[in-house]
Amino acid sequence: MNKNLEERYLNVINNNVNVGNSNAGVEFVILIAGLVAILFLLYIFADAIGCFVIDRMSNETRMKIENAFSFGMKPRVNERNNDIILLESIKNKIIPLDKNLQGKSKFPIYEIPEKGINAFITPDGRIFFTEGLLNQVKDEEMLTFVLAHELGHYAHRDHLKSMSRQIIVALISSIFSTGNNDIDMTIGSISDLNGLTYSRKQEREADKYANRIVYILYGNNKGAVDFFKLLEKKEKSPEFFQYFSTHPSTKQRLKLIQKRR
Amino acid sequence: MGDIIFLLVLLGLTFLTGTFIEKRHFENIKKREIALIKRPIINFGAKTWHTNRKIKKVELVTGEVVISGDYFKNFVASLKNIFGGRLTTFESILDRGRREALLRMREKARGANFIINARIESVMLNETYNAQESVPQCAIIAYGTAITYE
Repeated sequence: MNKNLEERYLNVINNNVNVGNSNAGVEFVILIAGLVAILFLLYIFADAIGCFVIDRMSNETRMKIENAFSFGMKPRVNERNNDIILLESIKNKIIPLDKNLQGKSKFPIYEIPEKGINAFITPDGRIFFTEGLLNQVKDEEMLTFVLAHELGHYAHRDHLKSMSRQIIVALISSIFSTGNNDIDMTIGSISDLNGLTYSRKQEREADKYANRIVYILYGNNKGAVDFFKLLEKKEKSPEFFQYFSTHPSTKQRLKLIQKRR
Repeated sequence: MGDIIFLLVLLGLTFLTGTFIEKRHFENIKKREIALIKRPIINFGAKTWHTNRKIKKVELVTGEVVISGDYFKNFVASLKNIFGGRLTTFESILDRGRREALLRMREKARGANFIINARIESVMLNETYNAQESVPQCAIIAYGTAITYE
């Protein structure tokens, strides 16, 4: 009897039923995957709503929102008039090609004093070229590609779309936020990665758009290919870095452009 | 981007250290439990207890443990806040705490024949303020009356 009891005690000690058998690491992976899946669905939902509303928005409403959201960047007075005049003339060639660009912003072009090769467009349609870009790129076809890329962002309403999805997801995720800093940070990081993926998609669309414009104007896409080859020479970061960046890697963009005829 | 890398590194590290420490603790508990398997006998139920033998000593014995989950465990538990389900990472913490507290009580009563009216209580230490910011900590107290025969 006593012997039996001792055996039972030993059994209780060795086979603990109070602790779950599941591995915490596996559990963690499953939970994170679940969180990613939920956020993914949320973003699809937000994209659908955003695109539906923004594509049907009237031009007046759209311009009102865009003007409200534009940052008040003070452009430098243009010294290199020649470059700007060239860009203006290219712009005047591009705008008649697309109905989405007509009758909206005047797309004033400015230069900003910055060394890197970059260009961007604000939500209200002001286009900025960096000093570095204007210094290194003199070819008209290449400049056309860059300008058409920026106008493509405007034509696709990319600013509004990325803003709307961020707002919708922030709204919903604040509801099921647990008040725990770590979880909020995780959700934020997943959203950031998702936002970057979306941004890369927009860049690819704008590249395709610009490629089309270059084809219509010149009959070939030499300007686009040349521009990316120039960028490739300047670029030093490795290929996988694109997953943490707003733009796809130059190699991929070059491939995308070369494929399309 | 830096945030998420820092978080992942922290989670990976605490997962490794937490698993290691927990495994060692469980092994330690098992060893001590097997060593104490015969004595003293614990009685959890009776409010009154009778014996005909002469009693040498009656004393209060307690075992206290304050235990907390590691960063990884707390993180997984707060993820469970969204999905629900068993907080398995805290189950092992609670089990460790309870067994450790009982062991400490029994070790204090070494040499006694019985521990009667043993009870286990638990308290959350950080509930009163700013519970979201601090680590969940649990105090577990086991106490009873140790009786030694002459």
